[in-house]
Amino acid sequence: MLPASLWHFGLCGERMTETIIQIITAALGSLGFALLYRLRPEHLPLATLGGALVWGIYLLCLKYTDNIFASAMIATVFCTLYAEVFAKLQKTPATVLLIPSVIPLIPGSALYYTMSNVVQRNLTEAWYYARLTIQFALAIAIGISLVWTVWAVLFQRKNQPKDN
Amino acid sequence: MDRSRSDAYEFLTVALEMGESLVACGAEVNRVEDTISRMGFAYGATQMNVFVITTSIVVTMELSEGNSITLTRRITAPLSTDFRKLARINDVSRHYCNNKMEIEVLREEYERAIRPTTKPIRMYIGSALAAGAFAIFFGGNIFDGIIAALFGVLICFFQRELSPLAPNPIVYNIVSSFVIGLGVCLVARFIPGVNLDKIMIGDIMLLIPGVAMTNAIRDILVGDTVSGTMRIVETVMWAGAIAAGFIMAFWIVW
Repeated sequence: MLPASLWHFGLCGERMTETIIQIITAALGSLGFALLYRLRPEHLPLATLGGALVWGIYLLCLKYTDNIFASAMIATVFCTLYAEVFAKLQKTPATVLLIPSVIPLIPGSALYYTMSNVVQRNLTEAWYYARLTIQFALAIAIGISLVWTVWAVLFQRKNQPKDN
Repeated sequence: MDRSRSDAYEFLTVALEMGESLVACGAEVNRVEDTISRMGFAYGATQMNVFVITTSIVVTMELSEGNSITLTRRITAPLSTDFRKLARINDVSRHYCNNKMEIEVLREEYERAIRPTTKPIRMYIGSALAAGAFAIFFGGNIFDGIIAALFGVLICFFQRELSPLAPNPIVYNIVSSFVIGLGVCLVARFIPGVNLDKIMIGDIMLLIPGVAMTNAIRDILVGDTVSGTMRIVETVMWAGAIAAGFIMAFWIVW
């Protein structure tokens, strides 16, 4: 029997406290990374809110779809849109808001359990966590690229010299 | 070299330096390509060919028929994510594209943009906050969070003071994760009631190149295959180095 996934545990059911703790700590974690990556002070609240929203949306999607990959992707798509919109309003590069906000989806935990299970020679479990890690990384990357492609088609100016 | 040509050369040098700084502080390669070519067109180039990967920049700027300048730049500065610098350099380039300025002014503005301004204390606080929050986020209790936060401060210290001294990122990652792993294992061994794995996860969030890895996959999906592949190989090596460091620590303590 594989260990219950952390992402299912206590999140799909009634355990509201844990969900709230997770959303708060996701926000604080995003704030921490925003400080670490030296965001301008006026962008800190946006990054913090982004972290909370991303995890909230992820949990919500997970509750209804029960699919980790799809949920992480939807949360990323939302996060990228959020970052793009506020970046346009604040006239700053979108990455600045995107990276700190998307941090709660980075599969640090899955990566750690992959590693520790490899060390303990539990290869079945290691493979399970490795797959989880890859799923998250792919979901985030696909989510971002998806939005960017659409965004580029809609908004970006062409790289041509201006006819003055 | 006539006047306009040396002038253009001067301009392109500044543009390349800006590109280099952008890559070093964590911008995506297609943003850097975009920035340099927009600035070139704003300067008055008829065509810009810009190729950026995470370790080098190649630009050919065509001024008129048969009159072009090519410059390349090897990027050796290690990646140190600094979004404030990124946003500032971006502002300078935006400013330049909107209202053209003299090259001396551009250089001055650029040099003002890369001046360090952030107080280190904010990075230490951020590091502690991130490690502590993620230890709790992934299921730890409040004590796990506090211990992870303390090690987060240590990681930040390593990243600021030790990584410039290390010969390469692999060595640095092995050493720092070994020291951190050893510390966490010892704490978990002698203080009852703390969860080793949760503390580790909180601190690993700071160490793993998760963002770089995601960027790498995204680069590939967007079409910057060369940069993406390079970065993926790099990040996998770093992750391997971190794992090796932790595994050594495990073996010694347990």
